[in-house]
Amino acid sequence: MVRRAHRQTSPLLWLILGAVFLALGGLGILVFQKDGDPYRTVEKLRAEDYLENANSLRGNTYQIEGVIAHALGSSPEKGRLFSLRTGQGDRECPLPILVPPGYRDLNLQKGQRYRVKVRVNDAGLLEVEEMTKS
Amino acid sequence: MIPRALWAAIVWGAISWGFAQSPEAVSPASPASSPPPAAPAAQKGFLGNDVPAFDPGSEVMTWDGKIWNIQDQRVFRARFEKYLNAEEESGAEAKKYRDQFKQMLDLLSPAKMSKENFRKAWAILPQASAYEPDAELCNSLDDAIFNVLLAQREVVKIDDQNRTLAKRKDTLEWNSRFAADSSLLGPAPKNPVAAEQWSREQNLKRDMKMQPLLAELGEVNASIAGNRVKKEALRLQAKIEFQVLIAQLFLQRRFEHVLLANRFYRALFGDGDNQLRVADDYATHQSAKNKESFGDLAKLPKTLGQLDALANEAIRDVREGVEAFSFLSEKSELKSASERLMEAFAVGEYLPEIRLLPRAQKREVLDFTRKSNQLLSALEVKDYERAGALVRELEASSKDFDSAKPMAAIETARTVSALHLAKARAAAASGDRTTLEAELRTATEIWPRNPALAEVSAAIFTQTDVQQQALNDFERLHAQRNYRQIFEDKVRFIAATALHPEKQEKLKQVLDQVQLAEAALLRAAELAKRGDPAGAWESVERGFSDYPDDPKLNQARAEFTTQAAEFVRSIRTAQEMERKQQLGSSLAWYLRAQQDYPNSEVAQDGIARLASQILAP
Repeated sequence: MVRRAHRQTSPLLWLILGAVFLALGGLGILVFQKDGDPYRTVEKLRAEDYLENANSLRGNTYQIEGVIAHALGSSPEKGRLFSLRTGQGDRECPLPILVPPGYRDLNLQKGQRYRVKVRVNDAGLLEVEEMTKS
Repeated sequence: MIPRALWAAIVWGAISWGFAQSPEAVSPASPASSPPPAAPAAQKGFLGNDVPAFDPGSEVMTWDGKIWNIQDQRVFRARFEKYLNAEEESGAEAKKYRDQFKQMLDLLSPAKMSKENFRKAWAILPQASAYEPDAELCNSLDDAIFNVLLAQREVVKIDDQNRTLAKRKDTLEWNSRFAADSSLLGPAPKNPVAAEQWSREQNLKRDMKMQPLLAELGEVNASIAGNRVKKEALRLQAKIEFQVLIAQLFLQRRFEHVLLANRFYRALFGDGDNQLRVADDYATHQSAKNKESFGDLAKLPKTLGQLDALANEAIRDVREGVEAFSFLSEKSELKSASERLMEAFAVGEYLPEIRLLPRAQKREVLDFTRKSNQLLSALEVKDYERAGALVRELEASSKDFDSAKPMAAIETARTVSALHLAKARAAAASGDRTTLEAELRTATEIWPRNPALAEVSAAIFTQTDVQQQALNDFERLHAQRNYRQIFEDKVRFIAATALHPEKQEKLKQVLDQVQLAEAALLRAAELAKRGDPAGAWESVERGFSDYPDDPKLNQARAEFTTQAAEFVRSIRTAQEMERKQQLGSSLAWYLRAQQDYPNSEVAQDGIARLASQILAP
């Protein structure tokens, strides 16, 4: 019987293939993630911290995501005040956001879900800097 | 016939003297006393306008501008009551005394008058005086008679002396005439000069002889004239002294003694001179004090005849009065019976008709009289309750008792007292203490023993105390902010503060506040029943903000805080953050509370308030 010659794959090859695969996968994830979270570099706001002491967060920028719950008021100078219902653990937590007059064209309606980049202003209010529907 | 009123007037003078009581001491004070009537017509009688007058209708005596009511005379009433209880004087001694009196009067009667009878009658006087009720008056009469007799003996002596003097006067006059005639006896000288000298000597001799005779004659004449004056004075003095005794007996209402003394007087002074000189001579020297004590003697009758007639009239009047008493007593007309007996007693206390009245018969009116006196006393001291009871008793016991006057007084006092009490009540209700005290004082003065007085006073003062206590409690609870207690006792405080507007306003504020708390509690209870503890808490919380001290609200608040702990925490944190001007956090907490309890008004208000603040330019 003819003994067929047995050619074994190099382990090194397998390692290279694995590394390439992982690199491609990582790249793909990176690209994918960049498309889904525009404020992925912005820290998410912890509602408990805000409820605890908003003044201590003044000047910081956070991102929050939630559903427009109520329009609380509006002013030509100051803009519009909304209640944004955010998810927090087992229960939702409504947070007030102030939409400056520059977002006048943005048609905010109750029940719409938004991802919002906010800055805690001098009055301790969450003032919208950017917001996108999510 | 002498008018009855006049008679009573004179007798009243005697009563005044007999009781030695000044008119001022018995001014009628009772409301039941009749008002002073106009002076009766009797005052214009023949004894002058100042004569006392008695009005039987009103039982009022008027004299010298002073007024008495016989019934008001306490001393007289007591004396009359004593008489009613006294036994009749029907013993052997009394009978003997009256027989002796009759005998003396009989012996001295004009038809039988003689010296012998006079001596017999005079001899009886000391015996009659032994009877105790005579009060030794017969003895006094005996003494007076003796004095008159002594005076008369003195007059006889003076007469004898005058007769002797008259004889001596005749002798002296004859001697004087003889001396005058014999002085010119013998022939005169013819020489004119010698004759003239002789004549002068003769005249001198005659003068010398006549001078002692004329001097003695003058002395005799003077003695005779002096004796005449002395005799007249003695006789007049004896008369006046006797008349004074008679007048005294008359004023003492010893009318039988007056008659007896009169007869003795006529026997002693048989000159027909009956003029009562006491009224003229003696009375002119009567002092004012004496008049006050014994009456004005000038107002006595002018003759002994008048005095005699008045005494007889008094005896007859008393006899009639006693007869009338007996008749009325039989008819159970006790008021009239007692009045007739009282009148008869007032006039003739010592007369046999009065003294011989059986005690059993007198006692029939005793009870009535006693009650009448008690009624007068009750009216005098203004005990109208007792007076009313006595009037009813008197009406029941006597057919003729007229209750109109006492009842009018009683009812008037009751009505006026009730009026003042009503005013006092009104003053107490309005808090006018001055008027209250004045009205109570007046009501007390009008009817001191008014049972309603104590009742009303107690009620008023209790009411005042309660009212004051309530006001004090209200002030204390208000200071403690214990509005709940004020609310629970609101009826008491509403009544107490009714007259205090400033306190009323405070009370109103308290009650409004507690009403709101009550409404909050009611609403909370209703919401809790529906399973809405957050709503219940919120309701209580709203009431609590207005009235944080209410224990009920506090209790309910604690209870619902436990039941809606998460919501309550959100609200309280929101409020705390709002207070710290952490608007964002505060708003977030309000939103969270609203999420937990969407109907929350506190959260809604907080959100609206903060939104306005945030959006304000």
